[in-house]
Amino acid sequence: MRSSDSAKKLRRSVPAYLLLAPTLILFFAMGIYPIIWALKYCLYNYDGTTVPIYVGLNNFRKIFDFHSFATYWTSWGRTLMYALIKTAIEIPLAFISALLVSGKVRGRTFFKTLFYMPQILPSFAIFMVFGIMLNPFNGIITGYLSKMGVITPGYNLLSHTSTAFLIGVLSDTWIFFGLNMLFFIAGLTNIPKDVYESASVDGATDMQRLFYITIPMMARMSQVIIMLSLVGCLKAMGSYFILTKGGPGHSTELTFMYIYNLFFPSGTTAQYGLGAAVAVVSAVIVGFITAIYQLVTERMQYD
Amino acid sequence: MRKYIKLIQNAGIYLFLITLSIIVLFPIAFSIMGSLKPVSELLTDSGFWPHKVVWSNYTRAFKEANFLGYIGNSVLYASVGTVISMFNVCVLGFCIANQEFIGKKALRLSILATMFVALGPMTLYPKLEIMRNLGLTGTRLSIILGTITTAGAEVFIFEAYFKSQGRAIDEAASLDGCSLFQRFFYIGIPLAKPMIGTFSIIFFNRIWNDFFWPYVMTFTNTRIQPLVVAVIALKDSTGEAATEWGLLLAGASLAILPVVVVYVFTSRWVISGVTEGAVKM
Repeated sequence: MRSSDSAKKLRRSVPAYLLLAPTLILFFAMGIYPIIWALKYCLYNYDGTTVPIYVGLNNFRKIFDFHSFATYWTSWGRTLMYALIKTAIEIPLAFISALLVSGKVRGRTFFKTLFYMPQILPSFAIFMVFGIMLNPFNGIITGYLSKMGVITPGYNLLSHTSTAFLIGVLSDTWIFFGLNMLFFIAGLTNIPKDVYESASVDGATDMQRLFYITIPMMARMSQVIIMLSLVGCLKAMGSYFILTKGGPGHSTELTFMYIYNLFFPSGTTAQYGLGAAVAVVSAVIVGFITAIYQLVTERMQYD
Repeated sequence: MRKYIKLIQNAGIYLFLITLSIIVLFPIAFSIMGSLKPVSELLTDSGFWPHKVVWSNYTRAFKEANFLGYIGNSVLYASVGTVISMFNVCVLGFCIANQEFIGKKALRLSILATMFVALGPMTLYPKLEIMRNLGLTGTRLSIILGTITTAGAEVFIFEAYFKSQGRAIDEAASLDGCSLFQRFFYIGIPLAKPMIGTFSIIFFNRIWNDFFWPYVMTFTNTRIQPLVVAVIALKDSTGEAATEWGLLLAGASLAILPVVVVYVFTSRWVISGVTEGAVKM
């Protein structure tokens, strides 16, 4: 009885698998296979040309030797710094924009549409334009900044760690703030209108409504948006790939760019086995932080 | 008094919005203005407006730098890639929502797994190895196969959409003897038309902008580069030489402007697509 049941189920599954076949083959090759590849080759020494040699957990031992593998671990420090600074600039900017364009401002659709636009532009072309605008010889931004006395003329903003780092953060904020603005707008439109109406009847001013209704009502949604932004930053290469190539030295190299450089190095030999191990460790770190975020947001929904 | 406060408040609001608008538009405008300047002016002057408008950067881009070919590549990858991506997420969403088959849960889980396992740029290499083993390195097909969306968050948006349309039509058609293929192509796809419209724009845009996969796949054969990659490769090969800035800015403008133009006409759908995703977040 059971076996005929499952045979029936199997027969009924055939058309679905025929319909899905091309998609499943592509999904397996492009989506699943890289994960299996990583789990296998993180245990090997492999440079792409010679035969891979099984080395057990050696790659991981190398990675967790914090002193000799400091470049990787400091890249995490930088990535966290990048995430915190970018979120601290981007979220207030996105929130204020959302607040203003969902109010009674004239041209609000225009502003909303415009602020989201950077998100859909080819970011690498834009970063290259930023690079030209920031060049030390006659860059238009360098020109303005030196006229205002912020920097000395001829100062190369991209070859000094702190300014280069900040420029990367600001470039990515330019790209992403519109997306977070849309998330905030989605949250703002969910606040019931009658709350505002009854507050108005009671004579509340705009500022009072903002601080006593909007912000408290948006608190949970904001937490989700902030954590989504932080987690997204962990996976970023930022604009540094184009603007600084991670330099000077490794000082603007975020973790995912460090991984990229293990696989596609300029000059040195690639280390695919070690690279796979580094990618696995990084994926576990990102996964751990994402899991915490999922737990916290789920808790928030049931509160 | 109250009137004045209101006035100042409004002035502040518009000042903020207009300043932010200028910041958003400035790099785009700078790229276009710069691409219209003669090289001599790009090298010496740091003004915004060109003193003299020339088209030489664009004629060079098309005559010497083969940009027409790169634009053709971009259009090819984005249009073919959009059709394949659309089919993939649509068929997965349809089957997961309405059909019963063995391994459905496992399939759903593995899609989620690929979304949450963040191996980042590492995945480029095994994909590249597959292409090498298939002998596809240096072909346009390899770029399309790696740049498409096979499964992702969109599958679940389509699943939810198909679920919201109910199973009644599908079951009735099934009783009338329609095969699954017929039901998908004649009922499922027409049903999902509004979604397909929105997501086609999003997929096309995503592939047009895609960088890393076409970048690493075209180290050996630069003729098949899409436009954005060609511009960055040109920047890499000229190093910091400012003499090529005109060409670079012309290339960047050619990559950016079509996106802006399409966005002007489709922003309503793009924004509603994003907001729909946000509500499910």
